[in-house]
Amino acid sequence: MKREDSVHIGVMFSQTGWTAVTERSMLAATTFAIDEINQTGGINGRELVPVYRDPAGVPAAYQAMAADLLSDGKIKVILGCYTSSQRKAVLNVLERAAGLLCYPAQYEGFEYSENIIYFGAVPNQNSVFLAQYLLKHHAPRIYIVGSDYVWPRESGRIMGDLIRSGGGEVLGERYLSDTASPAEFDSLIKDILRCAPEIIFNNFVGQSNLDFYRAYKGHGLDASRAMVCSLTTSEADIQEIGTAATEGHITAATYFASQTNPANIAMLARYEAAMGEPPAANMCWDAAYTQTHMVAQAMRTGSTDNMDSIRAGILDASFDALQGRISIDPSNLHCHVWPKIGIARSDGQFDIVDQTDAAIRPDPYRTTYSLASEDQDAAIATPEWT
Amino acid sequence: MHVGRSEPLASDKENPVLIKDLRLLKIVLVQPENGGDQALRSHLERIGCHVNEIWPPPAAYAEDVDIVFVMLDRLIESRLTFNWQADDHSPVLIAVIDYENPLSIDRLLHLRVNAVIGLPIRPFGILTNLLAAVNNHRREQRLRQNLARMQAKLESCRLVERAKLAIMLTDSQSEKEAYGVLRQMAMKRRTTVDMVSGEVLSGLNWREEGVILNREE
Repeated sequence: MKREDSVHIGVMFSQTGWTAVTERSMLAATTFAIDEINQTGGINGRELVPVYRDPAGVPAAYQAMAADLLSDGKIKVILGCYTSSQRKAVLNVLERAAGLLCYPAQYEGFEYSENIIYFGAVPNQNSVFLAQYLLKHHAPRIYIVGSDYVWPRESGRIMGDLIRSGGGEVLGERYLSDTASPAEFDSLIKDILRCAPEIIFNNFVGQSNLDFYRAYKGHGLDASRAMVCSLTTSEADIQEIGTAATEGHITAATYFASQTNPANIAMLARYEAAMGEPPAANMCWDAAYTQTHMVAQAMRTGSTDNMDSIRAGILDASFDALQGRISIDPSNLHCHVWPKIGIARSDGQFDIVDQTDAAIRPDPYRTTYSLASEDQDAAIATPEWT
Repeated sequence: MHVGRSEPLASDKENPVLIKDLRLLKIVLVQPENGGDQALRSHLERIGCHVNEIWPPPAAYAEDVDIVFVMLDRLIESRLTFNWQADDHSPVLIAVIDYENPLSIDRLLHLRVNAVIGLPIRPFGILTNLLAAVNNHRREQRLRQNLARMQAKLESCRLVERAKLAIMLTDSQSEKEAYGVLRQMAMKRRTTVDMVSGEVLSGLNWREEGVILNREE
């Protein structure tokens, strides 16, 4: 492939800073996908060349680097961002420079921009599936905890509504700041013990998530006493937290590395053969891998330097992702995803105990949550190709 | 629930239209089929509202419509009449404008629009503006209704005062006795003190009504 005729693409994940654990795994998936694309002919014979930036987790840096990447008009697509504040910082740069961001993380919804395609889940996808699972298998007495900012509070509110609509009970709800001391975690665990829930819905993130699982374990508690459920504790987080504190607890996600579908097994083997070690694969890794291939697919069938053409190419296509066959909803630019329930094992992977039989339609502006309306929703969700 | 139109009574005084009510809102988009703006309709549907498009502007809107969006510049260009009564039961009116020129600004102020959105449509902020406009509109309706109630009350107070005065002057009774006369007449006729006050003032002879006066000694 000729280098001078190459197609450039921006890749913006933090290799340092507080979000680096997850972003490094998204970066690895992106790099690997780009290698695969180039090994199979690139973009119609042209090499796909990533232009890397490391914003170190700082929203202002994401904004400045996105502006820089899009400045000379060569780059039309950026793969990147992890938190909502990082994505919001990039948003107005994209609108000005006619750039497209492919965003591989789940978030709280309530956003739409013609300049972003959202490959992660929104709450009507994972949260609803988790609530259905919990009500089927556990006494629905729940205690909600999390970090004190928008996403955990929103996620907690939704789960509370879902559990109550299914006849369950919310025994307590507490949020701690990200600088919470060990004493505050201590008092939180004591309150949980006092309420004696069957289920703890955990929306802690980052260091607080680690502190929470360890404090829980530290009080001699485990999944047999009360199950901790999360939408964010992935294989990557368990590597940090340690399997002793997470074993037996559950996570709802669109992808688990332990999936036994042939495409996933082949992919993990391919990665290990190429890189010399297995990937730190989780739902963000899967979404990052998928979005890279979908951009390349769209660039092959349309233009490589026109945002509208690339976006249209992504909307028109579907992709056999590791989580299941996915497509992007043209009305809201979010992804139809395949939620699954995993129970954490002692080796840091998950046993998948339940999964949807159809991709779930994204509804990022959903405001009310009740399980009563879900049957109807599932019917809408069944995609044409099943 | 028809949030924008519901009676602004005391019982819902403390209940703002919240984001959870959003998908119950019925919206009419007044725009021509060609030359309208599909971005606005798409976004309203994306956030989950029921949207009907209509053109030319109708003489009136269905009872259950909560919000009317009107493409003001298309309206001015087409020289069509836009009927709008900003009365107690009107929906929320949101103008969508291309130009900030004196003509259109003047026009939208006369229409008493509740909010304005500029073109091209940027999805960010529409949801929040919509809910703020609906809530402000409801608050205004509540205040208006309270004001109307107060005015009616004031009017009837004046009427009763004048009727009392008439009885006091004619029969040299005390104020309390005069009020007693009005009250007994109202009870006998199964009507209100305001009503009989009006009748007294328009010439009804209360002495023939067989009202027994309890004179104060």
